Amino acid sequence: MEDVGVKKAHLGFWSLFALAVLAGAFIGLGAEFSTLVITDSGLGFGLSKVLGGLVFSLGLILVVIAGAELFTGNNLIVMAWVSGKLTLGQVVRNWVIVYFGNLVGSLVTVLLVYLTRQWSFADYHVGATALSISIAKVNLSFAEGLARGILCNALVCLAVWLCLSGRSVTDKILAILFPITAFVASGFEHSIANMYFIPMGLLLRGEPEVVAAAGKAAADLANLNLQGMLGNLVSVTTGNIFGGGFMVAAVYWFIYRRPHEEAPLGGRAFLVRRVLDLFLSPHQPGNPTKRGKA
Amino acid sequence: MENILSIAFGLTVSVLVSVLVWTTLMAGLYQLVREQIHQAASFVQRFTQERYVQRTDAGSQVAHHQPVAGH
Repeated sequence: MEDVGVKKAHLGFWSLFALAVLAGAFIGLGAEFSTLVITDSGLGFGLSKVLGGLVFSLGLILVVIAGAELFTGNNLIVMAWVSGKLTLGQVVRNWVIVYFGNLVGSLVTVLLVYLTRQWSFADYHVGATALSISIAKVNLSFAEGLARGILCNALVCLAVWLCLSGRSVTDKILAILFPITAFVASGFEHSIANMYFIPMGLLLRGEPEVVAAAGKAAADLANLNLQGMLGNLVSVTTGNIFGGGFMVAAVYWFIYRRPHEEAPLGGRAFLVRRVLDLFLSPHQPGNPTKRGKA
Repeated sequence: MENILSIAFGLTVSVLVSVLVWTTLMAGLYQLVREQIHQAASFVQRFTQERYVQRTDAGSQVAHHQPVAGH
């Protein structure tokens, strides 16, 4: 994982950005598929959610198998940082480029799906489902968005983590299915998926047939605006970074990859040194224990 | 009482997580900017040195090829 992180962090700007746009589009396609399937599925609440989650997995399957750069998955690069193979600056550079690339990919997908008028299927009920999803997202409190974001990306990063143990495409797909289905069915929040869901709601709120099919009044749509979207993205993105970067990457690094007792700097001292390195010697990446020897 | 506890817990978690994540991001951005400035500075320094060497070489070549006045 550390080596993968180092490779990702050293990608050139345009390669990284293009791969990020692809990932945004892939997640958008998964979200669109999920919206379609849960509309009038004829199943009960739980099974309908599970089915929605199962088809949403398309997004991460495309990202992992076809190859793309997804912000939430890239939170695992934290592992390469705490190992001293990357600087925090390189990690944040990757995250910023990938985040905005994902946003562009998601928005392009939203526009294309909107132009297809796919939301008018089933007497505008597909659009009504999309609208209801986006309204629910912009009405979350900060704490709800944060907690759902943490749990979501813990599951997404675990899916990516499991994929590393897969040898074939089938292994990887199977590794992705359950964690992703679990997060979607549980209603957890994925910042990049929300870059599809909320803009789609913003477009559909202007379609009277969709609003009528969803049974929403003007008051329900009050928070569905750019400010609502920004509020959701801030809390959910913060949660995603913590869930993926700290709860999965840092925890697994601590369990398996932290320096041994005999190393010059072990355990807590090593972590303190990494934090101090941020401000004292930021120019060259490298393990501070090795740097100390030199 | 339970309400107050749950609100206090939610607030604490929200504040701690947000502070941790955003401090890390800000530190990373700060470091990124420092790295970029350092790269730009070393590029300018290298460029200036190359220009100086080129000029010195050109000057010495001209001086070498030009007949010196009075000789």
